[in-house]
Amino acid sequence: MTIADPQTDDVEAPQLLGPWALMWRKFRRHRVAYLSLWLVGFIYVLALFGDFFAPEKLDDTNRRGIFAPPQGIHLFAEREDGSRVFQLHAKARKVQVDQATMRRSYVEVPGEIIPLGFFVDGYEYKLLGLIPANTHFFGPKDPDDVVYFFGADRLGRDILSRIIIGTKISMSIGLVGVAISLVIGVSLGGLSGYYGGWIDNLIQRLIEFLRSIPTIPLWMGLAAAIPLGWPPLRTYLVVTIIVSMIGWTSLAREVRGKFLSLRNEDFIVAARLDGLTDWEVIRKHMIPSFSSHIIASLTLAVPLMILAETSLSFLGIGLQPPIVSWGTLLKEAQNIRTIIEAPWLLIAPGTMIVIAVLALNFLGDGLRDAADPHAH
Amino acid sequence: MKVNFKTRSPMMAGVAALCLAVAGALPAWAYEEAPSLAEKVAAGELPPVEERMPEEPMVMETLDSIGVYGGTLRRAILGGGDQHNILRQIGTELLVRWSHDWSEVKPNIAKSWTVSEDATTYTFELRPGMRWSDGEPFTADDIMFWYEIFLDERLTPSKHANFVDAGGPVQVSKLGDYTVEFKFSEPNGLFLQALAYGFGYPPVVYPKHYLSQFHIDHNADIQALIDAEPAATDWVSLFNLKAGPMHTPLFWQNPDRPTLHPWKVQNAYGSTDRVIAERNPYFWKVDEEGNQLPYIDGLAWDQVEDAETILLKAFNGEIDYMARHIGRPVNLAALTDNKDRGQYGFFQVGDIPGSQTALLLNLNNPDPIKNEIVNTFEFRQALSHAVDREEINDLVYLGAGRPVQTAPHPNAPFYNEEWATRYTEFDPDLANELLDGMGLDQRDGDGFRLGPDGNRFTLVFLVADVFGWQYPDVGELLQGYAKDVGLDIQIRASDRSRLQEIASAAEHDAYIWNCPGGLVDAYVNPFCYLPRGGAVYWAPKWAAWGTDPTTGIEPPDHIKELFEIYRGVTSTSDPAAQEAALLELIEKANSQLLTIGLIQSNGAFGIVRNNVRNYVDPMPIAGQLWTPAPYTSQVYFEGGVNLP
Repeated sequence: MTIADPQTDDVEAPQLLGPWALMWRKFRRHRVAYLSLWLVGFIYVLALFGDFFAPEKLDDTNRRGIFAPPQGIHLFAEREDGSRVFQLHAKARKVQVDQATMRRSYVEVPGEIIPLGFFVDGYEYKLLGLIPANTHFFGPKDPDDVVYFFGADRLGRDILSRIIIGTKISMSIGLVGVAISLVIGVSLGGLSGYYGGWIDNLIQRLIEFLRSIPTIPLWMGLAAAIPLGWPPLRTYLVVTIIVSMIGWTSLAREVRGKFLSLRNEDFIVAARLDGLTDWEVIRKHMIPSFSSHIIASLTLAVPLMILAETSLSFLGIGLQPPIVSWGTLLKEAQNIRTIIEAPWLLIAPGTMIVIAVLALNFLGDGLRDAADPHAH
Repeated sequence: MKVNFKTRSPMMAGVAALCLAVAGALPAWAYEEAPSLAEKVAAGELPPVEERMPEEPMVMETLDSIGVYGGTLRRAILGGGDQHNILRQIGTELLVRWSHDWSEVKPNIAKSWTVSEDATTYTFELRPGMRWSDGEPFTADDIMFWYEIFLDERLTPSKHANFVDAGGPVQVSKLGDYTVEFKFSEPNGLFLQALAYGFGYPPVVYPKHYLSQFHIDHNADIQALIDAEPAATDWVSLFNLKAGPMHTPLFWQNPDRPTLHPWKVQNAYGSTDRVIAERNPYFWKVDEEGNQLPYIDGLAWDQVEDAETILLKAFNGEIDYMARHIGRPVNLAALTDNKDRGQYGFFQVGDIPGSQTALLLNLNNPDPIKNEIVNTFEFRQALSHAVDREEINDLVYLGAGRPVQTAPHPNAPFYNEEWATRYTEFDPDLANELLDGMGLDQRDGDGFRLGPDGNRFTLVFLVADVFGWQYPDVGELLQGYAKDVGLDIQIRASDRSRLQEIASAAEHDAYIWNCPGGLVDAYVNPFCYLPRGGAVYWAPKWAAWGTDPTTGIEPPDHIKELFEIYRGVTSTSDPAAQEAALLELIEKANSQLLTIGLIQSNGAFGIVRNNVRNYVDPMPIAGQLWTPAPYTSQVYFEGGVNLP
């Protein structure tokens, strides 16, 4: 920021700030939103460098880790002579099986610890899909040890690693759908509202047609049309795109309404009389004046998208294991056995989704406040 | 949980040929009845119990003790498609039944039978004086009415294999009011067994006095009934609506239809939140002291959303007697924890398939390249050796199963350890060697093997989360094992009906399912040893050819040979010859590795509340053995009421 301090005496004429700089200034004053920006940034770093942050390999099962509860991180370890020394570690555990109920319980082995550290060696992966590496941000120093910070699932897989890897899909593909809906909705809604007449008529009838298509038969048709050989991720991406192709209609209606009301406002008429092209009028004057609305509806769409990831799985076209995403993790945790025996399977991904959704909502909130020219 | 019962080789028709099964000439005794029925008799609404019972009621052998009347047995049912929940509890009253340990065929509705020397003709004696649940007599005419429906192309276009042989449909004739004869054109040594399994039900569920009103040949004024029924457009659809098959929801949606069951449903399944069944005052079984069965007044099924809700109801003591949907190893810990709260205990369920989890490769793959590879024996052998069965057992089934090939269980009389262990050793090196040896030795950049066309060879496995057996988890592990030997296996989860639709059309590469034939049901259900019938889809086109050689695909000689061997099971009445043929069939199928078995279960369990008595434990069950009926009528509550 290169803004002169207004308190000093020898002021020059105050610099005129552009709309974006003004927005940014307003935005920074919104503390929660500012914090959320960092959080969202962090989540995307996790998504990008997932393997670096994940302590364990995604699909490494472990017979001695079935439903292992979360393990704490301890700071001070006891030496043999009784003195205490700073050493990040987790307690070593062993599994006991109750033959009558087939239940596993985990007891700490007294005196045995698993030293933890930063930038430790672990499984091999390719950073960003390019650079081979085996360094991991945090985890057990001995690659053969396994520590479950967030617990393990029914096959003994590390939940923390799965949540981290799942970030990538949940925070990307879902948003593709949202973005497509946005682009189509704003452009067609805008065209419809701005020009009116036969264009408006045509687009509105198209919207009505799309809204009258019953969705379940449509999805069943899709499920039948998509070849079985496709990888699940591609299937999901295609389905997301198709669903958002018909999901833009309500946004388009809202945008059209806004355009209709704005079209005859004085400042728009003035801009037009000043010789701006239609595109410039829309871009410079109309869209900014209702961006707050768009941002709000966008941030609200994101959590719905994450929760909807698995909703079409019964037709074989939603996200489903072995693909790991927050939606599939949550889906796997939705049964009595998990809630009774391994509540961390529900709590851990649930918390992550709540954090991500709140962060996105606050971020959107802050952006809207900052973007709204009427707000004070 | 181990199941301890042993099944013996069933008593076969050959022994039965001399006739047997004396239902017992009973000493003349005074029948006792439920207090609620006695009240109705006193009020004149019902005839006295002596007039309601057949001359020779069937006497149930007492399992534990003589019971007391009263109480309502509570269960839970899922909406849509869960009719077996009712059917297996109250519906399986057949001409003949399996003994409760599944070892021999005993009289039930038929009080006795004779079999001709050549096993072509079966004659059944019914019980004079036996009545439908509305009080009308049950006679040979009712069976003849079924036969009329069965022969009618308009009403039964496809006929069940139980009642058809090479010479066409079985000949049924009435020899007297209470005598019926079934005559086949060739020896059918398995007919009695087949009648004792679930699909032996059709002859005894067609009450002529009720259903004939919906049949155009019996009712000239049928148009009025068609007009009155909004769901029917013509008499055929009306008849099908009123006379739905018992294994479909339709049967349980027509509470007006009289039955021979111990209880009768009072409202249509699916239409309300709760299905109620009340005692049949004309039920034809008594206990050893002459008390008319059933002991329990009625049953109630609460309709719930999913199996998880049933588990919760069990914790709260709202389930009295049930194994379906909840009795799986994964639920054992949670159910044990809540035992005291729900006041229930466990009973053993001998749910023992030939393979609980089997890899079924589609040997009629529409893709010629894939088809050639999966039909190569070495490929199946390699896949079998590539899988770590021990790990699957430990991880997915918590160690409750046994890692074996598709083969009979040790409890079966014809168990053979060689079959159980054949090609089951976890040996990725051998798998690699076999795959290299059959020409799949080229690999792509990711280490996956290339097919003969130079593209990566991929098999897509369909999995559905059914039976609580966690097939999707097995699929994920399988994918990992296959990757280790360079095979690209993709897993696609699907729901059950979509999977069956794809698989029955033979459009799939492979799927994971279970295989029957772990115990003596191998005689009538050898689906995983032979491509037969429409329930197992590892070679649907060959199976179609096997039923009707003008359809499907003609199988190669080594499969035709299997059909020929199985003919040796069905066409004789000599138990030793039947067993010898069956053993030869299993040996051939097992050594060809037609299906790749992974895990065999030692059985499941059910829950039963602490004051329920006279239930079968251990209870055998199978795809075709629809237990606990016909043994539910003697279940009772200690004290005559449910626990609070």
